[in-house]
Amino acid sequence: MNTPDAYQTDSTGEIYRRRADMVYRVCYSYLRSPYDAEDAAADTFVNLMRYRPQFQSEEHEKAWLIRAAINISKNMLKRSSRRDLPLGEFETLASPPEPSNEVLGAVLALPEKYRIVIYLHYYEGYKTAEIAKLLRCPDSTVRNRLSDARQILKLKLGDGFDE
Amino acid sequence: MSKITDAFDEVRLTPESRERILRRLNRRPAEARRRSRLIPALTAAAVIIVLLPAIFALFIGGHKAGSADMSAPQDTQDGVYGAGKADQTESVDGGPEAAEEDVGVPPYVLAPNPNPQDSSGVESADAPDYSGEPTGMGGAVNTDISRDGFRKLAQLGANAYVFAEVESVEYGSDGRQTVEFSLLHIIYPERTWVSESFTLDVSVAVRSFAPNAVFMLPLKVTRDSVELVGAEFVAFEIADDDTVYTAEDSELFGGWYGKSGVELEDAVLEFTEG
Repeated sequence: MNTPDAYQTDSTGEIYRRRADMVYRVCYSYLRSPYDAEDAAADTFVNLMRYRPQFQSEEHEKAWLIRAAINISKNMLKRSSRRDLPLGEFETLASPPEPSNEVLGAVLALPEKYRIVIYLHYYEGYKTAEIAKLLRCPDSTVRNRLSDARQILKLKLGDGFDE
Repeated sequence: MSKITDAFDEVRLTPESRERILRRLNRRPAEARRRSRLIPALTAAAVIIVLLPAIFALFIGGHKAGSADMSAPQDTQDGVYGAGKADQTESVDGGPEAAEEDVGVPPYVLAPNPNPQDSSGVESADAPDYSGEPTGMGGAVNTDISRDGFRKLAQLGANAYVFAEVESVEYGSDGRQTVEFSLLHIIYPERTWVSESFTLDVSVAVRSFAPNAVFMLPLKVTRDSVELVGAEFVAFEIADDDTVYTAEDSELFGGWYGKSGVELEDAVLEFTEG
């Protein structure tokens, strides 16, 4: 990893190529719709272009993008809940596809607060203290959420889902 | 790797999604520049619109005690999406009634229509040879919309998406196909579905189409213009078949149906109250 002094912030295009999937996964964890997640991921990189943050390290860059993606996804959820309007007969066509993977389906069925914790811990490899910083909540809260989520997943998927 | 890691590994942007986002990011600097110029201008215009009638009313009020027309600022709000600044200025001189009469401004034409008599513009072989090359997904040329339709659409936000179904297909003598779409839904930028009470008829000549297909037509909406910026295949249904096929199924049909990124040759948007 680069030292803070030596780290040169890449162009948005390079960061996009490197982090697009990660940002998309964070958004997908919240929104559960590939279409909405795509929009949210795009908004995240638009924000990156708008604010042009100077990153001190790759980790800083990654954390900034995760945080931005979380904020945008949450805002999108809030807006959609406020603006729910009658759906027409075309609704079924517009419904997001169900995940074909059983484990992914079980994770996405978890409440929102558990999904992101599971993703950040298992996929991104963050420790609970680091997740707490990202989510701006106490470490103990993250540990509890992780524990609760594991219990639910264990009930659904049986032992060994996290092996 | 745990099963969870494996599961999330499958969650990734498709190449098409990556391209879409990249296109949006590439458009972004130009949008930002336009906005940075537009915001001060709009702010200045808004200040003038709000303050001038008030100052005028105060000025008159100073000479005619108790007779100031304080309703002028509210009335001028009617022109916010349409007549805009011109109306507001006139309301100062001619009063609110005069401004109301002037709302019949020409339709919002984004580009000159070489054949203004032909509102469809795309069906015949001698369809207008539009100026400006369509580039990739872009290239909307003749975009006329009614005042009411524009006003409603402008309220949707900076960008809207129209889901439209192929209504009919005509073949021109030049080999081009003209596809008539009928509106299914308009959605907000946040992809909230709406069932608005107006309809949008879109005629688009495309190089390829899918019968019974549904297209997403992204509209770029600003305060004073609406531009059809693309047409993207979404899905189609086969008669007597309950299955809905999406672009991802295109390989089942030799890729022909799933022709996403349909190039626009010409487009006319007409709004009618539903």
